[in-house]
Amino acid sequence: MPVRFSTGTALTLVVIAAVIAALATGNLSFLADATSWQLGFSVLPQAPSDPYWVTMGIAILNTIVLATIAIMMATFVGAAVAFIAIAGNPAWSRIASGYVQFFRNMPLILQALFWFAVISHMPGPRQALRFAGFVVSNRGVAVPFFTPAGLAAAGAALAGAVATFWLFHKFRPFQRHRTPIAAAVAALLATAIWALFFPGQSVWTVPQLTGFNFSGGVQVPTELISILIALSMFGSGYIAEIVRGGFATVPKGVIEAARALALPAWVVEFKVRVPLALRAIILPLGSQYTTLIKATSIGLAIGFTDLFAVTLMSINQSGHTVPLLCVMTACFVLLNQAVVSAANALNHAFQIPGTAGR
Amino acid sequence: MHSKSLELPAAELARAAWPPRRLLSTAATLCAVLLAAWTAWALFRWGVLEATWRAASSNECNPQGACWAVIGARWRIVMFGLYPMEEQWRAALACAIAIGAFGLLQWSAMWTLRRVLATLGVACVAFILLMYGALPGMEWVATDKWGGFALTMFLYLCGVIFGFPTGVVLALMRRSNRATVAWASGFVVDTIRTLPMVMILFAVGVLAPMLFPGALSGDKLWRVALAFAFVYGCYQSEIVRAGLQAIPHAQEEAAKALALSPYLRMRLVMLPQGLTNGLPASVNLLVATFKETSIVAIIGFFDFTASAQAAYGNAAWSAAFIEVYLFVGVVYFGCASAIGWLGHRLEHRLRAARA
Repeated sequence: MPVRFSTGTALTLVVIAAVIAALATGNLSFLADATSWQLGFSVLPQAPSDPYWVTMGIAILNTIVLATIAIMMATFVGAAVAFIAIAGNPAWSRIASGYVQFFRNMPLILQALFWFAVISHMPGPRQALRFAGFVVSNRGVAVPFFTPAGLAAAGAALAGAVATFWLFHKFRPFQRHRTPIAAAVAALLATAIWALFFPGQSVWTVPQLTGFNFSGGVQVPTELISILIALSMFGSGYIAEIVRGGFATVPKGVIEAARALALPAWVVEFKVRVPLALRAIILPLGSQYTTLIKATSIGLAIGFTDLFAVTLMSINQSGHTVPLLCVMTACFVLLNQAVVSAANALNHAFQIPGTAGR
Repeated sequence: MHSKSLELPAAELARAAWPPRRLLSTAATLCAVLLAAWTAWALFRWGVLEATWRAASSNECNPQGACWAVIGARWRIVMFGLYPMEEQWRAALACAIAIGAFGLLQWSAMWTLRRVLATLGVACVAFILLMYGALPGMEWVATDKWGGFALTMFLYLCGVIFGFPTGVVLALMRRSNRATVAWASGFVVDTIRTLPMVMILFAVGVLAPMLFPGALSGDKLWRVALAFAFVYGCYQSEIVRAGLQAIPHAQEEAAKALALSPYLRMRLVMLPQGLTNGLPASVNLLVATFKETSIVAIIGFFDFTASAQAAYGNAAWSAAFIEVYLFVGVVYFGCASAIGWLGHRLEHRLRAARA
């Protein structure tokens, strides 16, 4: 009888083994020493006097931020391309499949280097390209963003919407008009928070040229924007195929039955087709997300300071090869395992009792 | 009775017919066609009509058009890297042999396992002999001079030829009835699949000499090529394992009932069906592996992607990066598409043979 053990157990053992190996091959006391070098890009401020463990922690944050934004953008674009592909128009579905073929068949590192070269050759800040508040120059892209007032209002809106849906789910007073009520609650809450705590302040900052650089908005440096665009377009090709494949598994008879019941078109799409398609999408999507997380290490080629790049720099500077490699291995394993577990849990929640998925 | 229920629902039908579906879909198609036509025209104008085909530097090129002169001037670096100029005919011949072997595999008469392995094996041996210069009368070229497209070809050939059998062996080990063997191979495969390939290749290529100094570490390119093959083997082993799992249990039981030895069971009954089951996923993996060969640019090898950077990286051609990347991208796209297309043909043929 072949032995069965869960991948989660195996990977937990990897993490434990990595930590033991790190402790065994060298003392970890160097982690408290100051690095005396600075990261090119960090989501939190980092100084040369920070110890190694802080720098590694910030590098992990860099990777997580990059992976999260890239995954969100890739899913958005990929889903949009997939919907174009399945909409039924033969011309547009050919365009969509051409897009998928194009971005899947190019290596990721080539795309990252290409976008890095494109952004580096953009004009300087004085002659930068502007559209819709975005400013593109050779220093990167400056993006309009929320002010703290805007963040508070947006957070309040999100919390209000989530709370409303949860209350409807828990107490079930009535089912109609849930979405408009949730939207109204979110808008009310956002306005209330804004009026109470940040009256009169603007919600949005747009980047403005001041002197030689930009102020306001968020400055996204060249390295980050090029790896982000490359990861998003590369990932969107694969995600479009996964989403399209998921929608192809929905049996035609079910849709025809829903239409025969005179259900409105939006109910057929969102209450019948999408839940059935999601059951075939979630697991491959989770594994594609882990691929994208691993692919963030390509950032080394264009100078983005993600976990891999910072580990290499630390190895260079401190000389403690194996402990640092073990730390990086453990981090990647934990990140990937988190995504895989989330995908499995979501997949389990979406199963229809009595069908093959169980 | 309400009179409304008796009248013909012409008004409702007319209302339901708006927006008219055929008109919308025709408008959408027209938009798509116009978009495609405009893009094609803009590309044609930039790439052909206004392009400069010969120039001494990118400053002399027409700024409205493509500067294809950079390919004419720098193609040797892109294709062969730092390979010695007089011996580059060997690298070209090696690449031609590799592409020729691939072309030979398109012929359906070659689609038996023995012939495929023989073709790939002969191509790989000829490739290595030519690149090294091991035949009499040729000058020896060490692996640190190999580069460009030839290096990418070498990595891919070695990766596939050494990696595929590794994958099959790992899959069989994971299915073994001995708990230690199954557990150990599962552990190895899962760990390697979780880590980024960059990290594994970096550890093998750059960090291994620190741990095993001197001649014990071997040649850098061979280390990386074999590590690449092993990682490919780990991914392939999962596909083979899934393919073997999809075989009905009765097949293995019938093979056992016929008193076939485990080796013959695998060779005659299980593996042919298992590999056929996993063929679409294997083709996807082969295409992805071809693109993954570009990763070695990060660890200091002068492969196709890194040589593209070097091609426009001097003062004369620094503005011509789009043309160089387009050229490299088109080659990658062509090779990846060719591999995928061959895989689909093989799949169709095997499915038709089965049905």
